[in-house]
Amino acid sequence: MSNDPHETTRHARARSRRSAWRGPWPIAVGAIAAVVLLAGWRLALGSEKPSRGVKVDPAPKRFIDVEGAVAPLYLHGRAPADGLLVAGDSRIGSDISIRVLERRGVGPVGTLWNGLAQIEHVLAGARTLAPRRLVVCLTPASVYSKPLPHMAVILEKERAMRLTQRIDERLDDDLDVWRQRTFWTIEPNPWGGGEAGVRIEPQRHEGIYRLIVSEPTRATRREHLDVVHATLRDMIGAGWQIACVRLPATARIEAIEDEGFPPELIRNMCTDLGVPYLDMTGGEYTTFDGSHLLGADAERASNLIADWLLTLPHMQAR
Amino acid sequence: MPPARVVRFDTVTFWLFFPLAWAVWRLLPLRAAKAGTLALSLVFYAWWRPEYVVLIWLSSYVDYRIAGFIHAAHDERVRQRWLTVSLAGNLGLLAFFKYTPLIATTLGFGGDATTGKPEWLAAWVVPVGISFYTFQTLSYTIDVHARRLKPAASYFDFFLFVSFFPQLVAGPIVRARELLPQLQFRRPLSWPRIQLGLYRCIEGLFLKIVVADGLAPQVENAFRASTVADISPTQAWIGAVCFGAQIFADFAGYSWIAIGLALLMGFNFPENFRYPYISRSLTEFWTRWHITLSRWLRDYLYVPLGGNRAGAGRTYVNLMVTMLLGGLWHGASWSFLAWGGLHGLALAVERAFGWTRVRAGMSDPLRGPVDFVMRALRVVIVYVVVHVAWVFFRASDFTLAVAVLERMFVAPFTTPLGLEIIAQTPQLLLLVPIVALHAGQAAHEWLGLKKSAPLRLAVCVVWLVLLVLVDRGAASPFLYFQF
Repeated sequence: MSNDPHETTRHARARSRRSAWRGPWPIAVGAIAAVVLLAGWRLALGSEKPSRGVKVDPAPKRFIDVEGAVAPLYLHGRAPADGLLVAGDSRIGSDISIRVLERRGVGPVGTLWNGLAQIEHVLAGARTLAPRRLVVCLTPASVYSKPLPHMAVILEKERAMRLTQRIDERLDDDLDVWRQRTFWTIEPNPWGGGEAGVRIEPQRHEGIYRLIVSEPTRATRREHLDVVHATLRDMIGAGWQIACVRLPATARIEAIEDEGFPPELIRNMCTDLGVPYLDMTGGEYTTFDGSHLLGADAERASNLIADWLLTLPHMQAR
Repeated sequence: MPPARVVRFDTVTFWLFFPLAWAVWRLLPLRAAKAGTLALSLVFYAWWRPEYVVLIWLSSYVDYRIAGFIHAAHDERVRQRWLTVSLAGNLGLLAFFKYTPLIATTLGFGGDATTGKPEWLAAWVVPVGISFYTFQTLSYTIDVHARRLKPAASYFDFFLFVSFFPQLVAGPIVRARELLPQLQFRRPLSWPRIQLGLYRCIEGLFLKIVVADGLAPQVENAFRASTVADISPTQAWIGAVCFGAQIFADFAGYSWIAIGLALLMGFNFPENFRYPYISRSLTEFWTRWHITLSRWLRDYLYVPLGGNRAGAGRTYVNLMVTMLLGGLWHGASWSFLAWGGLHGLALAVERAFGWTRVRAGMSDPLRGPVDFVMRALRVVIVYVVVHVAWVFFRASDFTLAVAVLERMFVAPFTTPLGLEIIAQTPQLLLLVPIVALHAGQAAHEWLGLKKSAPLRLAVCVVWLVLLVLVDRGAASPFLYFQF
């Protein structure tokens, strides 16, 4: 043993430091440090990340099984009894901001859609949910388009999913939504890549739309529109509060749609049903593929829809 | 049938499950704790497919009984016969589930582009973790036969050893003589153990969720059959490098979480990854990568084949056989066989030239700047060889692997390099944690720098914050679940 008192003190201090690191306080310090850093991040950046390409609109997602569906249907957001549903095809996913609509005071919002989900199946899905206010976004593709085999495969996979998988997905989804709504999160791989976070090609869907509304499908589409018409009448009779919207696209896509599916078809249906109709075509919107809006314009479009809904007494929560 | 999911460590479900499992093991009387932990481990596995719990029970029960027969028999021929039954049973089970699709396709029963796969083949499911638990139970019967281990006192304990949830589906491959004794008592928890356990879990989750899932798109871009001929050499290299990082982050991440969970419960699991990309030889690589598998192959395949005791030629053959079978263990395809074969060849070459001095994980101080340069050169060479082999591992077939390698090694002489893509790929920043971890380990082993507790705490806090802030890509299953 050394007789040097300084060495004894140094040893004692070193031992004390080592034993301190072996206690519980590093865990507590670490946890507190993490909380402080996260709180600082939130204070500095807030929680609402601006939309760069595709809109930023975190919302929980749930599969809705509908008999006879040709594509899987998903509810994004909430669907309580006093909520508002917005139903349609994939353009709902890009064009409708739940966050904007809720902030504008239309109530809790849920969007019900999938790519190439036929609107009559979407309406059937809506009828299984609690809300009784519905905005229907009609496009020629959502009224009728030829079912795609790969959508049927995805639908079967969803239907075959076990309960345990659904529990996992639901919990993980809820945590992710909470995380994205609480913090400005970092995306290592923005959807589609590119500077705006998405590949911008406004002419990308022109060929697809020409095909969708081509002559062979027009008669079938009219028949399906009749089904939609009857379904909406039935829903109104059951107490649903309904409004219709035609979502915007590029001028070229809108022209293709008008040629294959005259706009007065939807307008006349709405007049016959007595439901308000908002035609958003003819505006100046930017899309990333011709039919799906970029994030900033999605927020603009959602604000316009909110403005309009708030003027409609029969679309307010009862 | 859709691919089902086990309870994964990177899900909310698991982190609701774990506190319950921890409490059951730590707080109940030992007998009840074992029963409860066994039940929860089976729930963990059944979360994937309840019906396959029967398989793991059957596999463990048969081997438990066989080990009993081996131990009771005095005649060496009888003992050998029972061991053969165990080997045939375990390897037969593994082969049936893993290699039936490959055999069917090779023999012409796999359908074609016109007819598609037959329904039975399309619905074929390989039980999750089968490669791991069959190797575990095999090591048990082999060790009992070799008299290195007495049979477990009860089937109950043995079943718990096999099905213990932290290591059930993707390792580490824990041996009976490592875990069975630990199930007979509860090790007191200490704060350093809890700290280390939490640190391993957080680090593992960060590597899996942020790094591995974040790198996946870069890998997919390079390994897509429809576009591989059009990618630049740089993009091909990015794909290969990112895959090497992805598989490390994914697998080491999973192992570290498993080790961390075990620590928190009071168990010690063997280390499974020791920063493999600072290896200076392939021999050293296999003492740092999937350590529990490589020691299993060494102890139960390479050494029984003769190891390096039967002359140089036979040694090379033994190395090749061991690595080829190691490749096949990973999957039923020719590209896995090629991956194993490349490693076998490299190991044989190293042995032939005497380049096998191994210093895995131990202090190996630098002997000057020239030594540093030589080490760095060797690390780079081994890194390139390992990543060439990874291309075979990742590619869906042999043709794609060759195509990617062509883009990596031939195309630079005939097409523009495409270096500008590096600046356009900020996701490459996800490689920084991998590089930092390896550099830190190299500093520890080569420069003698001590691992600093405050630094580890700071790093852990950063991992935790990034876990919250970084969005997850499409969450992919742990890559090694498919094995």
